[in-house]
Amino acid sequence: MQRIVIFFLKLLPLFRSDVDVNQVVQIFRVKFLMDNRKQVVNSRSKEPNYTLWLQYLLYVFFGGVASIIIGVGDASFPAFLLAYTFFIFMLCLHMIADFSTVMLDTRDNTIILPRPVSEKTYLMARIMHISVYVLGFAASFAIIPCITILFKFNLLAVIIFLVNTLLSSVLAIFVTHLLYLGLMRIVSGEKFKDIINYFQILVTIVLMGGYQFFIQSINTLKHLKLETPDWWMYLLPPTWMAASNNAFITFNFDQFSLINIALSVLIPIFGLMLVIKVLAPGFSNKLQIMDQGEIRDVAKESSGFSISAYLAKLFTRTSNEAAMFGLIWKIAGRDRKFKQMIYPMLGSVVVFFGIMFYTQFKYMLSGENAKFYLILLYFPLFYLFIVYTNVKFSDNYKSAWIYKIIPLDRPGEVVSATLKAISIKLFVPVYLGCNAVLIYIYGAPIVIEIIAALLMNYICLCCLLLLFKFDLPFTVDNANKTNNANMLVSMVLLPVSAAVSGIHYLFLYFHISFLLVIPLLGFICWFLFRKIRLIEWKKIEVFEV
Amino acid sequence: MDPIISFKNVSKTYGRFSQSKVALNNISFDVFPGKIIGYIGPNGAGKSTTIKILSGIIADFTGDVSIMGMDIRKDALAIKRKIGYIPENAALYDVLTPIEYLQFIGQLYGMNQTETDEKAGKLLELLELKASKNQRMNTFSKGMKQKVLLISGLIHNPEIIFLDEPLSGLDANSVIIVKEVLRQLANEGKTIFYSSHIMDVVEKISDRIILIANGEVIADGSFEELNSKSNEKSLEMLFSKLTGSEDQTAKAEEIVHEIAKTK
Repeated sequence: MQRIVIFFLKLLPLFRSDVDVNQVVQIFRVKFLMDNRKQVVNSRSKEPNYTLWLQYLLYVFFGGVASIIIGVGDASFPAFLLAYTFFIFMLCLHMIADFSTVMLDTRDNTIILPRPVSEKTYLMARIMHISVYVLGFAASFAIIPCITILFKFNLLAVIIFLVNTLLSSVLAIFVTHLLYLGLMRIVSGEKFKDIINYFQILVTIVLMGGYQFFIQSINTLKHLKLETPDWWMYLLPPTWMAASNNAFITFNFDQFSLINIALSVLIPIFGLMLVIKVLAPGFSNKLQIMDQGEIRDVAKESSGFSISAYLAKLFTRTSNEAAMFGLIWKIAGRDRKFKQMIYPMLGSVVVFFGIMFYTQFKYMLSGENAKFYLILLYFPLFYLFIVYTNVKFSDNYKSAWIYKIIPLDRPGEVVSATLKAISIKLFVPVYLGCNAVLIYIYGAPIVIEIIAALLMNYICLCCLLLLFKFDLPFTVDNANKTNNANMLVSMVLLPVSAAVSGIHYLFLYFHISFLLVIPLLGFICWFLFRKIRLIEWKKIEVFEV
Repeated sequence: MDPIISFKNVSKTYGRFSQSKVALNNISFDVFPGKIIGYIGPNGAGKSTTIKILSGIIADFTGDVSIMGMDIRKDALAIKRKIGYIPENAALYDVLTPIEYLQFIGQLYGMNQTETDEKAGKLLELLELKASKNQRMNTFSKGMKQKVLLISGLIHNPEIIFLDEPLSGLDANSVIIVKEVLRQLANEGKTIFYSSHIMDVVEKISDRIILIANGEVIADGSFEELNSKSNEKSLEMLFSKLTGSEDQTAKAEEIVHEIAKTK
């Protein structure tokens, strides 16, 4: 593919004499090479060579899913609407999240900008790079649907689908640039990176929960009526594309179709012009401003009162434990890589609850599936364990020398502090927040059960942790991460979750008051945390620094 | 003789409104060809900002900057062909191998591939990176990356070389080599504009020293000229005196006292 692009790039002088084609080719070649060598979170390979190709493969899969929708649906409009919604949404999120490291590569400031590369050449190289990157996704997405459309409809429908997929990609480029450059105007460099970081987390969560949304949406879309379209439909780009496809398949060029065909062509072209003429030209200057750094006054952010210090005082026993609690608390709130790794796991708890409530809510309200909530109370144990076991991974694992230098007699203090900080900052708020819906369904008495379940979850977690050797936080290189451990955990934890839900059910069955059980559970929890706090070095996994 | 670098009434402010910070405050100096200029100052004095302006990286400043008689704002490309820049941090595309990176840089300067390959290979060998030339740089130490940066700033044979802390992370032998390279390049008529915190190196190799603090030039001349009034033993002592941090012994005592508080 690279060779084809370079061939076309070499034709550039025919159109633009003010661009140094050789430099465009070289910048493009290097950027493409770096895209393929980019280390992504959770990547197993230390030296990846095909990152971009694997991402394209993912879009082939997405296209396969879209193809099923197009293939099995009776009406073409809802099917295309769903396919384009999925594609545009995924592409926009993907570009915002994944491409940010490329679009915002501030290293260009010291590598390319001091060289004799003109602004126009650099701009052209960027446009070519982004275009090829996005068109690759479009092409990957379109492969399987094209075959389906050819068999189900005709060649014209395939051509229109390809054109609309291309226009959707252009639209994604426009939306991404608008968002990036808009954000760059209103927020500082660091805040901008934070926002992009949250987009990256959102993408991971959407990837996990998206397919469920996809399946549920089919039923909703079946009921759309094109004869009397709602006004808001004209505002949604997937509608333009789907209506355009539908018009050429049914040869029904009514007012709705014509307006949408016009929008599907004009808005992406207008957007592209805006990107090339207005938004992109100042990009290198903005990139350079971003690189100038900013003074982030953390003391100012947390002037006077420190919540981590306050909570450490409440929940920890020794100064080592308090110090580690503060460290984990701050890293969990500030370190972008940590957030990128851990927050999606917590996000998946929210997604899990969302899907469960979406599918079971009416049954729970009617009392038809009254004990279903036990799954909601105990399944998150799985996520809690995964979150905890992933805290050991870090790119800065070499900083773990600190554990070997400080006079740390009982490393269990580090473990218990980690567990407490992760729980209080990340897990418990998510757990309680999600289960708050149960209060709406079952009323205030359920609160007692939620507290008891939370304690039971922690008892299980501590018991499980005590069976194995412990890892201290941030001591293992991120590159050594594999998903095998998570698979093993899920195999162990699912029966454990089921067993504790069973115990909970027995309490309910024999009408044992949870008010009596909670103090006992609280004591067991305290005892187990104490046991963890007292563990010695022989129970800690060896780590290299 | 016309100056090869003319830096006139240059000011630069970072940030906006209440969070703005003045990096350079109306600085002026001229540099003549074939000289090594040591550009020194405390942390945050504005050294890197000056070098970034001279290299065409920062364009939003006030004042006039010309290099080889060309205006940096109007003739940036022509100037960039003649200069080499070695940044402070080891900023490079570290998923590339040194040879891939240097090929890329060479091509941006319009060098042909054979020439770039030969030159890059030879320079990597001379800086003892031959064995690592086909390894990705994300596994390199800081010193190894710094060597690649040095080569990338010199590979196109520039007339003027801007170096921002070029010795950072280098081992002792490499420091000696780089110092000698700079001296010999100056003998060949190249102009070296060199920023560093390592005072004895600056003292030994610089023909002229410019000392800045808080965005202003506070001393300018050869070491002998600067020292003629104060008669300090070394540039380090002179630096302390001129930047107003003379009483280091008292400060050190205070630090020790603070450390000793914990029993």
